[in-house]
Formats: sequence, structure tokens, C-alpha cells
Amino acid sequence: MKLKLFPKKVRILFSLFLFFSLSIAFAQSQKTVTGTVLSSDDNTPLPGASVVEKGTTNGTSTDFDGKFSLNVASDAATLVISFIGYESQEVAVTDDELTITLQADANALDEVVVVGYGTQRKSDLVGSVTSVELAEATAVPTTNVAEMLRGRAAGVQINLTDARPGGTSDILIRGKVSLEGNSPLIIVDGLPYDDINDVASDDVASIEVLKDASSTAIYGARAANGVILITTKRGKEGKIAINYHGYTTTRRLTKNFRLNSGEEFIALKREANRDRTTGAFLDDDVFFNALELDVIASGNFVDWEDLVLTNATLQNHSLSVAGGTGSTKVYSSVSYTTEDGLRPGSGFERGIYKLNVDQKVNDKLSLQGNVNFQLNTQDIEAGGIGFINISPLAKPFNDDGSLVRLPLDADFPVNPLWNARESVNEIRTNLTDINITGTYNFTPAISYKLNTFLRNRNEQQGIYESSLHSSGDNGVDGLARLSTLFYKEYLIENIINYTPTINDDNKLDFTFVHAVNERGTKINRTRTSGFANDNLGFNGVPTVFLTPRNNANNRDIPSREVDRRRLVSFLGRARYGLLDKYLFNFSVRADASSVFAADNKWGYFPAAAFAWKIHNESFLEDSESINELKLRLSYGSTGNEGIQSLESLGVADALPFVFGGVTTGGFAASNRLPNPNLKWETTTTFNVGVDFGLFNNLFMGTLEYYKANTEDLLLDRIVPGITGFSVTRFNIGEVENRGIEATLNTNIIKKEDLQWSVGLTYSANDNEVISLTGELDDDGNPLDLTYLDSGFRSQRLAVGQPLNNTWTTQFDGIWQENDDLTAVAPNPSAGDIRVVDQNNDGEINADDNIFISEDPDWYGSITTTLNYKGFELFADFYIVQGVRKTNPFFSEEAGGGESIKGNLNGIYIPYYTPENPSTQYPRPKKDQHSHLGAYSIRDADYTRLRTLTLGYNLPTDAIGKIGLTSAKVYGTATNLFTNTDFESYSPENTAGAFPDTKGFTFGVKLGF
Amino acid sequence: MKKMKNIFNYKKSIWLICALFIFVSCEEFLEDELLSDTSIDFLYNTSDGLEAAVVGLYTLNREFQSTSFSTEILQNKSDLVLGRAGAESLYSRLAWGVSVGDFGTRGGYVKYWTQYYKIIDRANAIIQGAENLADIDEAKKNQILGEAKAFRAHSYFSLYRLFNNIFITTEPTTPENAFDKPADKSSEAEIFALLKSDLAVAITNLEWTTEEFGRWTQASARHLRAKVAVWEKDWPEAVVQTDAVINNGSYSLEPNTKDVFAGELSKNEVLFATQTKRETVGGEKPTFTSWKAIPQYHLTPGAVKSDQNGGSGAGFVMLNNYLRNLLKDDPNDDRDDATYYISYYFFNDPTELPQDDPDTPEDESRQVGDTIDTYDQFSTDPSEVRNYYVRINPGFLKYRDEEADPTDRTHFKNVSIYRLAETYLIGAEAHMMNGNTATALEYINAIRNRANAASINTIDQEAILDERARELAYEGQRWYTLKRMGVLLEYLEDHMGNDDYNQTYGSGDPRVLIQSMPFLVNWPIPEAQLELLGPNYPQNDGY
Repeated sequence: MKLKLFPKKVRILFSLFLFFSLSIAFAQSQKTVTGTVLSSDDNTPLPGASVVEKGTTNGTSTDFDGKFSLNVASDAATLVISFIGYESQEVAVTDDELTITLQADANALDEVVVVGYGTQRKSDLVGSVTSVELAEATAVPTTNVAEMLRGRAAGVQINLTDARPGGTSDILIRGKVSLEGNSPLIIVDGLPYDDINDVASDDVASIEVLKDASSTAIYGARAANGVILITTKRGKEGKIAINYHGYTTTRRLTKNFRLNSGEEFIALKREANRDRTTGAFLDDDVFFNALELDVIASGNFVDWEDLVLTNATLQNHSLSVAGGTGSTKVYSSVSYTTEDGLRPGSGFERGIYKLNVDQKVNDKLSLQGNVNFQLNTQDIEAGGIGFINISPLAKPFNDDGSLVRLPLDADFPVNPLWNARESVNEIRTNLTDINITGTYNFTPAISYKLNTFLRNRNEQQGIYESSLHSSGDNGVDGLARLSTLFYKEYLIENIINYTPTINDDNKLDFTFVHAVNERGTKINRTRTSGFANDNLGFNGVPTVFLTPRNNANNRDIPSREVDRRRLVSFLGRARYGLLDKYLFNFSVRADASSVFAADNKWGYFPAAAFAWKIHNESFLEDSESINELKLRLSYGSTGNEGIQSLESLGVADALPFVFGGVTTGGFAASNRLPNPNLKWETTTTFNVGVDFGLFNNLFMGTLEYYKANTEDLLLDRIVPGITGFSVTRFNIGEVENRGIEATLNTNIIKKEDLQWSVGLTYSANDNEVISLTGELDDDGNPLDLTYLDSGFRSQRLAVGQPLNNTWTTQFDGIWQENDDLTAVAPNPSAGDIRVVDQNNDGEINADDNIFISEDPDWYGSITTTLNYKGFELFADFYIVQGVRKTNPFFSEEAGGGESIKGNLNGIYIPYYTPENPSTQYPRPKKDQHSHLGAYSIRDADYTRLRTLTLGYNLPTDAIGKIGLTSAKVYGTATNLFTNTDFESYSPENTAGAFPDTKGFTFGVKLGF
Repeated sequence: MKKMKNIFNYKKSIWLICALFIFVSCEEFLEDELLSDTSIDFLYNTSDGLEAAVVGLYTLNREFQSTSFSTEILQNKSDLVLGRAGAESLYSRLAWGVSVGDFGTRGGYVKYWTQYYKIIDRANAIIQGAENLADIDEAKKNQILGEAKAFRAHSYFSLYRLFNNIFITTEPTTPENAFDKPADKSSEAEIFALLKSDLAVAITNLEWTTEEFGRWTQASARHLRAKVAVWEKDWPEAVVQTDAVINNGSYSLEPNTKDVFAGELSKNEVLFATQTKRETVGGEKPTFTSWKAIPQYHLTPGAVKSDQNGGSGAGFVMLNNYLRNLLKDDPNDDRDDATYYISYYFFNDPTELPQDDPDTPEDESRQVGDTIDTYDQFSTDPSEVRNYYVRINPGFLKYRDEEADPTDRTHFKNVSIYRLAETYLIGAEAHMMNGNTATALEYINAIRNRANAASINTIDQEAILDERARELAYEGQRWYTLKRMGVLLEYLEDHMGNDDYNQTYGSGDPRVLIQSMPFLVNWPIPEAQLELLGPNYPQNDGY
């Protein structure tokens, strides 16, 4: 009984509130109407449906059981019942309890999509929001959710960063707006996720991509690079639904190059060692050692690729249970994935448990609890895949089949199989997310929501290199590295929604949010050697204390790194809809971030947007050919705080020294000069878009143009060496991204048994630096600027050029014997790489460098789906055009320079010889080749058949007999076909990275 | 009504809590704090911090010997070496480091530019901190100032000799002045005034000896002051400084050359050395220098890696004919008898011994312990000549860590920067230029006799240069000395590399190349660094 007391009080309180402030109708009320609102889909109750007495502001909304109770002025009153995604209905009041069944809105435009801090009918969207077609996205079997988004939304570019099991991809929305932190903000069920892969793909209910500032500004900080909103599945009232999805994938190597074979490598080495003056070949024993001569004699060459790589498999099982009663709804799932890598020793194993609970406490108060628990282990192979550079003239095995440590009989390399056998490198992660929200509806119009979130991620890495491993031998006696990372994040949000009911023609709502967020990392690292034996691996650290100290090399001081960043935010948003034709959206957000200098913590990010639903105007209302035509305009700004903490403070490095063998503590200020004036980087975006649906929605699509200007770029500016520092974080300059995006979907055939649709996306983005320091050179041109990128490489920025660029000379073929070899200095020889002398001064130097953009001119996808009875066929092409980038296997970066010297193996090329001169590939020689940078810039365009899926849904009457509600089997091939000139395992993947693969999947989906 | 009032209060207090949470501690909540890092405020504003900051300078200075600065550029650019392979060879044969933007300049020289300036900035901050700190023990303060100023002088002097057009300042870098563009390079007068005033303080403040081997002492500061003096041709000053060190009694030449570089280096003779120590916190900065300067004798049938043969070797850079012949001038000179330099290698693998007549098993023309003679440097077969250079050309032993396993290229070895033998040779030169031939001969013969070489009776610049070559080769001073005497181009053109090897370089014969590269007396200021200094800053002539 006590439980009931409180709600009653509150009810009285708000009845009074209404009485005094809102309505005199309340005082005159004569009749109480009760009823239930149901969905036509499945006859389940619709909670939260709006029930309004027509012509008044008197209204309520349905509770969790879809029930409502409303006092109306008279028996003659009419109720208007509406709910997002359903057609509104008007019913006359009767004495009986009403049961109203709302028809789901047939128009896809009225799908409900998730936007920042709320939902919206798709037709009411004002900003640039793309809903990802989930069936297409999940057709790609992967634990990498980012890869599921590839080609699914215009303006969203995915770049594979690590194809290793458990690896990741970069997501770039509408180009690179910044030099720091270009990842979009990932919001899952209203919560920021630092890793999109922490969501199990089978739990995803919908994905939305927010691209323009009016959509993202509500997230202010961290949203400058767009927002990806993921909503996970929740329980529904009714019968318990159990679903199972299992699949297995086999992965194989795919590539468009080959490494030099034994014979080719011998020829290359002989060519490289020819006498420079006479052209005579030297004796083999000058440059081949005894072992190599043996291998040459026997012809037993080694195919390292074949030896080191193997086919790999992935298995995934997901089981979910969903259901609920009137007041409690539960969705719960378990996913388990196990994945091998092409490189033995690499692997990934993950289990995710998810629990989403909705609990209605009473009419006013509801609670939501979401728990996400994950355990995973990533095994990282030893020594990368460094076999590409290893000579095929090698002896990896002894005659008895055991491994040889030094297969070239030289100091290095160590046999990759040897080090793989003698090492482990595993990262174990456990993640616990707890999210509890409470929503209190003061009135149907005003609600308060408290959102609390706590994330704990604990990551333990252990690396052990045994006393036989090349890093653990030679008296090191085993080398262990242990690191423990604790990541803690909390978020507290106070959210107030106010939706005053005015009338049908004027719809208005307000949202106010206050949020506090903290993210912190604590890392402990140790490095120990001198193990008594290898039995316990890195867990044997205590055994090092059983061995004499003089065995213990490389015993480091344990390190401790503590990092913390905090955000405080306030935001307000107003949305106004007039006559269902004109939509307005205003928001302003204020964020304060701890990473900025003391006086520059706060940033302010306003946005405004307008949309005009032209199809609702009288002149189009009855048009047969135009079903939808909407114009959207938006303008707003967002901020970037994606830098490290402490960059405005002076930090010293520990630099201990030994005097006469005795350790003494030492310190020096680090290479980073602190900047006490650091402030927000701001991106301001203008967006115009048209959404259309033509000829009975045969064609549906969107066209968009945007222009995003980022000012006060947070860049790691290189400081002159005479200062004694190398870099400082600075706010400087402006960069502009302009682009167009198009999405077109056509439903060519729409019959009951046969449907065929084709979808196209196209994105083109142009990135250009608008201004830098403002300093001018002698000729009055703006000075270029150098900065350090995230890989600590020095990069160059120039006004008028893109951020992603390579600054190098321009490849111009190969010098031939008949050319004038004295035309440029330093003088080349025939067979050398030729570059363009841009300024024709007869000298090749930095003045001849040009900027080469690394961004694609455009990228897009073509998807097609064919359904015939129970069969589904889905195919997906992904196209990237206009990309030029460095292939590290032709440059110094990954041994290209040493390969053309015959010192290391590499990608086979038809190189220049005096007898057979090439115009594209240089002459092998022992000397350093100049201009390898220019030579290694390659066309990296590609077209790829990314997915091809054939599925079959078993007839329901057949499976019903065995207790199933649905059953589907499917087979999928990924990366089946790729067309590219970029010599690599995959065009986004340079040859040295963990190779991307083609995969063949077989899967089953069952519903009980 | 009473109950309702309670609810109001309850709700009010919730709002109050929320409001407090939002507003009260915002500023504190948003403060960026050092949670696990040492602050530079501690470093420069406390006595303990300043002492630790001085130690930091030694660690920064040691970077020049570490694998990340691994090319021993100055050694390789001398007229005494044969560059065979690797980056070492590219510097030695003028393929790298000859233009503003080549890889040698961008990748190698720039580290000298930035690292010395880093040491200078940190020294500037220490000096300013010590001078401004009221609460500091006077003796401690003097020691801190002495060491910091010795480092500043050493760094500016090195930069000046390498890059010529340098900018000097005694102001620590701040965010406000970091992007100030110097209007011009500093004048020689300004540079030398600072060097002399810094070294005067160092000489006054520092003790003659230190318990902590590796720290600056009055002896090493005076040695450096003597080097500054000879650069200015201030012979009397050089005489004063070298005599003071030689006659002080705290230091003496090792009686035998084999003991100079043994173990942690001779503490009697070495005045200033970077310090490393295996298995020790703060001591682990391995070098590959020894490995690069010993040939691959182990590729010869009948030889495997051994301590006797000099340990692990790659033979990137080795002694050239010019230096080998200088050492042969006196047959008794023991510096090339596996003390400073290794001239011969020995068979040590009985299983693969090459025999004159391989078909006769009883032929024992070669035994374990015999000198390897498999390849002839002057053969007409180019393959054999190549094998000679790769496998058994004489190499340098001065950087060898005797504790390293012979198969291990990673060495932990103290590296001598300044030693008394050089003080003697500077003294000999200064006395000679001052007209005191007797003392000049006494000093130069002290060095010769210690190496078992006979005394000489006349002395001139060439005698001094020859003796410096024999005694100090591959210690990083040769290039400076030749430049100081104005004979760098001449000596390089006459002696660098070996004639037969020079012809095989694809980049051209360095002795021909240098004829069109007189600008090489100064290193180019790396292009990227020059650009950062603004359009007015002058590059060295010729680049």
C-alpha cells in the first residue's frame, strides 16, 4: 500500500498544477474516458501514444499497457490518437472503454528514426540523417561493426586500419575536418562508446548517421566529425521470442602481386651486384653466402608466404531472448565469436552478454536498465608479417624437420616461424557497461530523465618472449612485458523534455540537457627478464627473483601513466513544425573540456535548420509523380577536443643516468612545448539537401551539398629546432570540406513473390586548406606549415592543398641511355628514377616537390537485392576512385629501397636492365636510389564485389511443425572480386599490414 | 496538505543538489592536472629539481652515441676511413649530407642540430632557475651552474663548428618566444664571448676530479677551453689550459695503449665520457658502433665470431689505406696490434679450414690460430678484392664492449669524448705555435712512446696531424681538427676512402666529387629547420 501512496500524491500535485496553470476545461470536466491503444502490427499495446481532446490542449499519453484515462468536457468530445510511425485516428467518446487500433504508417517516410536526445518521424527530419539499411549492413560477417557501415551511407568513408582478428577500421564522415580525432562520435542507446566494436551486430536494431551540424550540434563536443547512433534491440510485451544466429566463415588470402621467386631473386641480386663500370657480373660467392649457394645449387627455394600464412576461420553464435509483461520488458542476448587469423598465432575470441530491461514503476515513473558485459582475448602474432622481405634463398628447417633459428645464416632475420613458436602476445579485455535511466513524466508534456552510465574497461596485455626467442635469448633468459589498463568513464545527464500541445498545425517541443562526463585511463607497465625457465611464460614473473641478478637484463622501472579528461555540457533545443510543411530546429550547446587551457575551457555551439515539405503544399498534394519532395537547410557549429590532456602544461621526461655505473635520477622538459592558450577547434557546416520520392516511390533518394569550415585547427605544430623543442599543440588556420552526396533507391519490381531493388550511393568530398599562420614569403605567398601527424611523422600543409597529402617529387619514368643524363643535377645514370624538374632549373630539390592528394575523388556503392519467394539474393559493389598513395614496398618505408639493391626480397617488378630497359621500374644497383618516394606513389583506385549473399527462408508452414517461427539459411562471399592496380593484399591495406582476406560464410538464422 | 508540503521540500532538495553539482565546483572539476608526470615547475624551481635536471643533460648528451643516432657521422666523414656499406658509407663517400634536403641531412644532421639545441635550452632553463632560486645551498648552486655552463659551451661550440651559421641565446624557450624568427645568425664574436664566459664559470666552479666518473670536471672544462683557444689561434691560452691539466697530477696517460679503452675506460686518462652500463637502470643505451667498424671475418671459411677477432662485425666502415700506412710508419707502433685497431684476424674453426690442396687430407698448410690470408687486397680478381674488404680489412676496436657475447652486436660501452692524450696533442701544437719546440716534442713523444713508437725530433703541423690520426682516429675529433687548420678539403681530397674502392661507388669517386663541393667545410642547415627560422636566416655558403 505504501507504494501506491507516492504516485497518488504526485498525481494530485500535478492535477493541481494543471488546474492552476493550463486549463479551465479541467474544472469543467464532466466525463472520464478510458481506453487502450493497440498497434495494428501485432495487436500489442502502444505505450506513449498521445491522446488529445480535439480542439483543446487537454490530453494525455498512454501508459506501458497502452491504457489511458482522460477527463473530457462533454459526451460529444472527439479524441485524436496519434503515435509516431502510425496514422492518427479520431474517435468519438462513448461510455464504453475504448479500444483503438492504430494502423502502422505504410509510408516508409514515417519510419521513426533516432536523433540526438530523442526520436523523430523520418519525414520530419530537418538535418542530414541517414538510416543504415540494417539487413544490408549485417550481411557482412564481421566483428568489426565499422566494416558493416562501408558503402551503406553516402558520405561515410571506411578505411581498414587493421585486418587482424579483432582489428578495427577508421570511420570518416564527410572528409577530414581536423588533424586530430577525426573519428565520429559513437552513441549507443544514448551513451558514448569509445569503440564501435563493443556492440554485438546481432543486438543492433538500427543505425543512424548524423552528418550535418544541425543534427550533430546537439552533441557539441566530440561531434565535429559526425555522429553514429546505434540503437539496440529491446523487449516487447507478448510472447517470448527466441532467436538464434550462427555462422562460420572461411578466410583466404587475396592479392594482386607476387613476391620474387627464388630464381627471380637470384637474378635480381646478380643484376644489383654488377660492376658499375664494366657491367660484368661478379662471382656468385661475392654476394651469396655459403648457405645461399647451397640453396641455389639444390633449388630448394622457400615460399615464405605459403609457409607463414594459412586459411583461417571465424565462428559466431548469437542467442537472444526477448519478451515482457505490461510493466516489465526484457531483451537479453549472448554472442560468442571465435576467429583465427591468416597468420598462425593471431586470433580473437569474444563473448558479449547484453541485458536491456524496461520497468514501469507507475504511470509517471519508468526505469530502464542496460547492462553490457564483454570478455575478449586478442592474440597477436609474433613479429607482424615481416616475411615479405625475407630472401627465398633460405633454409627454414633442419633435415630432421625442426626449425632453424637463422634461416639465412646471417645475424638476421630470425625465422618468423621460430619467433612465432617462442612467443605469446595476448590482450584480455573485460568491459562492463551499466546504464540506468529514470524517466519521470510530470505531465504528458513535461518529463525529466536522469541518465547515468558507468563503464569499466580492464585490459591486460601479456607478452612473453622465451629464452629461445631472438629478443629473449643471448643471456636475457626470457623477456616478459605486462601492462594493465584501467579505463573508467562515467556520464550523468539531466534531460528535460517539454512538448506543449498547441494544435495540429503547430507542433513544438523543447529539450534541455545538462551533462557531466569523465574519462580516465590508468596504465601500469612492467618489463622483466631473467626467467628461471620458460614454463610459466609471463605469469612466471616471480621466478626472476630466483635467478642471479646478473642474468636479468632489461629489467625496467615499472611505469605508471594516469590520464583524465572531463566535460561539462549544457544544451537546449527547440523544434517547431508549422502546418506539417515548415519545420524549424534550433539548438545551442555549451561545452567545457578539461583538456584546454585554464581560460579557454568553454566552447559554444549553436545550430539552426529549416525544412520545407514541398509535397504537402497544395500544388503538389495530389501529384501522382511526386510523393515526397523536401528541402532542408541547416547551419551550425560543433567543437573538437580530440587532443591529449596536459598539452597546456609543462611535463618532464624521466632520464636517469649512470655515473661510474651508479644510477642517478635525471629529468628534462619533454619535447612538447606546452601551450597555455589552447582552445577549442570549431567546425561550422552549411548543408542543403533534397529528399525525394517519385512515381509512387519507385525512385527514392537524397541529394546533398555541404560546406564545412574548421577553424583554429588543433595541430601539432613543429617548433624550430633552435628552441630545443620539437612540437607544440597550436590552434591555427582553417580547412574547408565541400562535398556532394547522392543516394538513390529504386524498387524496380514490387510484386508479391518477386521484388527487385537497386540502391546507389555516391560521395565526393573536396578538402582544402584555406589559411595557415598568415605569414607570407618573399613573394607574398602564404608560408607552408609543418606539423607532426598521429604517427609522429612530419607532414606539410599548404594553402590550397588538402590535409591528406604527400609532398614529393613527381615520378616521370626511368632515365634511358639515350637521354641527356647531364640535364639535371645530381646527374642520374641510365636506369635511375626520373622525376619532373618542375621549375626547370636543372636541379632536383625540394623546390620541385608537388602536393599529391591522398583522398579519393569519389567513392560509392551499388547494391541490389532480389527476392523471389523465399529466396534472397544480395550483391554489393564498392567503388573508390581517384586515390593515389604510397606503396611502402616500393619506398624505404618497408624495404623497397633495399629490395631494389638485392638486399631484401620484395614485390616482383620487371626492372630495368641495360639489355632490357624498362620505362617504369628502376635498375637494381647496390647504391641508394633517389626519388623512391615519387616512384612509390601508386594509383590505389579499386572496385570490389564486397558482398554476394544468397539466402533462403524456409516456408513457415513447414518449420512451424518443428516449433520454429522462422528459419533462414544463407551463404555469403565477401571480397570475392577486386579490380585494382595497387600491388597489395587489399587496396586499403598495404602489403606489410595484416592481410585483408576474401571470406566464404555459411549461416543459419532461427526464430523460436 | 502537510504531506504535500513534504513532497515539495523533497523535490526542492533534489533540485538544490543538482544545482550545487552543476555550478559549485566547475572550475576545479575542469582543471587539467599532472597525475603521473613530473612537472617542469619542480624541475626549475627547486634545488632537488635543478640537480635532477643537470643529470638529464648527461642523458640527453648520451643520445649522440645511441642507436637512434647510429651513424657516427663525424667519424665517417673523416679522411681516415673506408666506407664500405650502410649509411656510414653514404656519409663517408659524400652521397649523403652534401645538400640541404638529402636523406643524410634530413635524417642525420638534423639530429645534431636539434639535440644540441635541446641541451642548450634545458641548460638555459637550469642556469636561469639556479640564478633565480633564493633557497639553495651556494656550493650546490655553483656545481649546477658549472655543469650546465660546461654543457652549454660544449653544445654551442659543437654546433658552431658543424653548422657555422648558428643562432645563440641564453634565454630559455617559452610559448611566447618559440616562434620568434631570428633576424640573422649570431656573430663569431658573440659566440666566442659566450663560450669563454661559460667555460670560465665552469673552470672556477668545478672540482678537478669527481667521484662520479662521467661528470664534468675542471680538467674536462679546461680541455674544452683549450680547444676553444686553438680554434681562435689563441696559443698562449691553449698552453695555459693544457699545461694545467697535464701538470695537475690528477690525470696521467695509461702506460699501455691496450688499457686506454679497456672496461669502463681508463679513469686516469679519460677526462669526459658518456656512460652506459648493462643491466642497470639509467645505464642502458646500447650502441652498434663496434659492430659497424669490424669486418665480417666470420664469412671466411675457417673463421667464426670470437672475442679475439673483435666480436660481431658488419664492416660498414673500416680503416683506409692512408691510416693503415700511417700506423705502419713505425713498425713497433702497437696501436694497430689489436689495441685501438685490429689489423689481422685468425682462423678459429677447425672444421672449415681452407687448405692449399683440398684434395689431400693430410695437407695442414693452415691451422687454427694462423692469420687469415684467404683474400688479397691487390688481387686482379674483382670478386676476391670485394671479399677482402667485406671480410678481413682492418677495423676499429675503440667501441668494443668486452662483456658482449662475440655473436652480439649490441654493446654497452662508455664512450670517450675527451681524453688526456688529446690534451697532450693540443698542448704540443700550442707550444709549437708559441715557439716552444722542446715542450711540443716532449708532449707528442709522450704519446708516441706510450705506443712503443720511436720519438721524433722535428715537429710541424703535419706531424701533429699524423700523430692525431694514429692516436685519435675514429673518436670524432678529426673532422673538426682538419677544419680548424683549414686543410679539411685538401686532406679529404688526398686521402679519403681507398682508390680502388672509390671507383666502385655508384655515386661517384668522392675524391673527385669533393673538388666541386668546397662548401662541405660547413654542414648544411637542414632545409626543414631553415624554413622554420624564417626567410631571413642565412644558409651556409654554397648550398
